[in-house]
Amino acid sequence: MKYAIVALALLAFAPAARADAKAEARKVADAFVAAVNVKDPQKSVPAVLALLTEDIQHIGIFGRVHGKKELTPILNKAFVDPNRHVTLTQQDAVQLDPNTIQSTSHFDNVVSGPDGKPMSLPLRCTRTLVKQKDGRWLIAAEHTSFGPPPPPPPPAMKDQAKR
Amino acid sequence: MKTSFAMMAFALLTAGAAQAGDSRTEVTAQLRAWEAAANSHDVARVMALYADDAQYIYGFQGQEGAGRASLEAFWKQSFQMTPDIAVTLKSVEVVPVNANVAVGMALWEDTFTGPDGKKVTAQVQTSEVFVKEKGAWKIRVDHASFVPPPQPPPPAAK
Repeated sequence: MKYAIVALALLAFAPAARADAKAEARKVADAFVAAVNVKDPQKSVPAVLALLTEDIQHIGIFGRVHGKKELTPILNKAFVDPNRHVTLTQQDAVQLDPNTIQSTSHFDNVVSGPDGKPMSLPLRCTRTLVKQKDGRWLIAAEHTSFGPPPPPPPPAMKDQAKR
Repeated sequence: MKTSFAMMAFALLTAGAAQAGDSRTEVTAQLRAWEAAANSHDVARVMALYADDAQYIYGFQGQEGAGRASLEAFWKQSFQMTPDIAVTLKSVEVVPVNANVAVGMALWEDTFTGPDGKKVTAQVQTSEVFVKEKGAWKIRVDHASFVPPPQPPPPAAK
């Protein structure tokens, strides 16, 4: 009987925990987008770093990065790009345990192309968020890679495009 | 009394360090098991290393999905399309998150015959999020992408 009550309580808690995980991960993803989109790199780089643990472990389009110390000069260089703009296109998350959320984000990342004109790159990002003692969720590990190219337009649109 | 607090603190610290050490060893062993399973081209052996609700993101052709059926179909197709694929785990770093979650960050070398008949060697970087299920580490999220070309040195270093 005691076990049944505990099991019921856990079942009742589970959907709420899932909803919280999604909401918390969404907050981090939104904060990341807002930080990247601040035009002044002197403000945007610290704003991004504030979302990461000190020893953030990163794999991404810049390769393997260990900790904020290695990441800071990379961000300083990347954020000089005047065309830089990020849009969150998809976001999901699961709670791995009470202190860990696994987040998946899709971004449309605009950067300057080789000709200096804005160029859009779809990015996919998996992040392990860890709850801190003060209640904040910080990114402890992340992997970013180029996403698939957008699907080809449906036949009707292709025909219109030809005309 | 002070001594017993110090002893308790020491015991907790060493227990934490031992736990992190264990997860590093165990997750590295799981990645070695993945390497052996992938090289055997035995889909069931590969799938045994994943959690039922595993999610994958592969940067090669933009593949992405979740769940055992989707992942199994991916590996079946991969082994059919590249029947001579061989993977080598070049290095691994394990990030112990807590007793039940750890992230393995690894570098691999994949070799296979390309569509043009030429041998291809690709450097692949992966992050595998492991969760402990019934005492065994299982891959919950598998993200793989090609290693980017080396970045030019920053201006100050030139």
